[in-house]
Amino acid sequence: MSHSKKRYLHRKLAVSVFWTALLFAVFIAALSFFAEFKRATEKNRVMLAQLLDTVESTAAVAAYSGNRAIGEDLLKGLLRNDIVHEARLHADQNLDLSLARDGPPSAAQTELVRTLRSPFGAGEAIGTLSVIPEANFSLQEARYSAMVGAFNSAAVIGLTALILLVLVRATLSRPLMTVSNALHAIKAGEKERLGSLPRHENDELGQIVQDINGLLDKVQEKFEDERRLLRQIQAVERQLRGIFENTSAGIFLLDGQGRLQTANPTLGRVLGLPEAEADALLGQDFPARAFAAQEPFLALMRQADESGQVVAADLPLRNPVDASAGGWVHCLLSRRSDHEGAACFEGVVYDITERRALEMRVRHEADHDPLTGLRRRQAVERDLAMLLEQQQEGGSRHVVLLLDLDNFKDINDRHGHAAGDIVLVETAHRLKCCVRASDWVARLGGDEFMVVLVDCVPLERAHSIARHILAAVTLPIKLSPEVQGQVGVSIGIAIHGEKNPALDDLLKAADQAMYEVKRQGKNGFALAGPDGVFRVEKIDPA
Amino acid sequence: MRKFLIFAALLLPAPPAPADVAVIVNAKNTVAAMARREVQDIFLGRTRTFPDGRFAVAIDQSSLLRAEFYQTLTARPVEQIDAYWARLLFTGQASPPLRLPDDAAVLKTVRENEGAIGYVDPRRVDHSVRLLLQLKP
Repeated sequence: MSHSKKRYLHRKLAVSVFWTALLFAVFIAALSFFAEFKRATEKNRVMLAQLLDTVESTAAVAAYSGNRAIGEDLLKGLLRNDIVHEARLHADQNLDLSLARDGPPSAAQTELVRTLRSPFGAGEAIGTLSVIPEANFSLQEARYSAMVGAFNSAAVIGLTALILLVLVRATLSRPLMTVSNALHAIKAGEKERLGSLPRHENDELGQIVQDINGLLDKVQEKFEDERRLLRQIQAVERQLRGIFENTSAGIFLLDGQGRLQTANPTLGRVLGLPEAEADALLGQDFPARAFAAQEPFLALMRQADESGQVVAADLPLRNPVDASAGGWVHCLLSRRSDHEGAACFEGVVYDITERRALEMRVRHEADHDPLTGLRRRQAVERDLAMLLEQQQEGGSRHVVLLLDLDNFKDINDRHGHAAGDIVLVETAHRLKCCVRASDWVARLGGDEFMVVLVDCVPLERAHSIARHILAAVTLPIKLSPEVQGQVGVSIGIAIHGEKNPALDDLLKAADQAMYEVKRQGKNGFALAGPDGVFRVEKIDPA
Repeated sequence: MRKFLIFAALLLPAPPAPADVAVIVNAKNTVAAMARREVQDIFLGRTRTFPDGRFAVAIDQSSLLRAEFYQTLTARPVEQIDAYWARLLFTGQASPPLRLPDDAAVLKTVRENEGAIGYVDPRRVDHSVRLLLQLKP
């Protein structure tokens, strides 16, 4: 605000007082005009009445005697008074005189009539004396009085306003301006304060200055409190941010459709994404970018949404850091509502690749025979059960071959366990060579093996494979540079199908077929026909 | 107020007891009767004729009876009557009635003038004039 445009308080006050005074003076003038007009009119009537009183007896004489000279004299006398406009003397029989002043007839004036009575006898009425008052006279009187009233009130009010103006300017406006300018220069929260006003320490202005200084103190206090609090909040925020950014877990927030909303820098590292791609992850479809398969994560989201609790799963990554080792994360997911009430998901992932590898190794050791590297019985039976279960509806057929070595005990007894082990390892190798990579070979224990032909089409191929196995296994085995050994094998074949829907049935059928081979002299394979009769095919021992 | 004054005047110890006054006219005068006010109008110059239109001349007299007459006729003291005439005289347009010394002169003048009208002590009235009105106080 520029200095020249300021509207000083005392000037405002003066202008208000001026207009008020003007209004008041006009009001008073109008009031006194009407009052004086009324009073002058009233006074005129009284004066006229007195005039009439004065001349009444003479008028009565004139009227009684019909004397024109006295009458005219009398009317002239009346007209000499300013308040009389017209005078008239009327006697009943012999006289009718009238005299008027120059100028317009005063219309609104009422005639003042005096009945003249005979100066003698009983005083009967003999005529009238009437006067019409001079209207201009009252008007002039009233105007003059109004003017004087207006002038007086204007003078008094004007003088009062002037004194008020000077006083207000000296005692209120100037100190206020001082305070205002000082306050304008002070910044909130600083140590500056208003100086006290001389001669105003104990009045309202002094009070205002004190109060403002008190307020400034409070504001400064609040400012300092706020700064302190802000520093504390910033420290806490730094700590929390440090935790958020430096944790080894990836933290993320997804919207209801699985798009990434927020993530900490660690997330990209945990997911094994290159830095550039990690930055571009925001707003992207998180399951598709992060995991090898989307479906498990989507299932996890559904589960979290339905249960409302924290759910967890181990998930393989799409882009593992070490491609050969594979990458796995443990993912914790929970559903939340964002500030608008829509569903969103917050999650934590951390790297479990090593733990997973360890687990896999342990599991592999549990499932596999350390000597031959083949699956153990419980592993293959478990996997076969799962395979059969998946198979229920499909048309493909699986074939189970149950193998039992013949003469193995002889080699063990004659050449020792080491030789037995060589036989087992060699047999395992030969079995693997006879089947496709997708087929399974397992060691059920001792000298018992199992081969599962997955999706064996046509079924006749099982025969040729059995023949092939028979030929391969029964070839001599080099036990040492000098010694060769040879074993035979009995193979029971069972086909998974309507007759053998369950695992137990299948294995039992294979077992029975194998014993049928053994019963008929070993070194052959057997398969139960549609009639339940086993057909045994044998080869001659080489 | 006026009645009260009259009453008060009656109570005052006035030296001679008020007596009647007789208004007389010429014997040939045909005016039947006149009211007190008509007599007053003639004597105070308000009219110069009798009710029948004939010219009237009022005859005054200077005796003690004059005060009696005007007091009885107008209920005003005679000084007021004199003042009235003085005012009219000033204008030069009117003059008071002819004033004779006593009853005898009045009777004589009335007898000799047909339009004359005067007043005398009732005891002096005879057949040579006509008694028009007897004024009682």
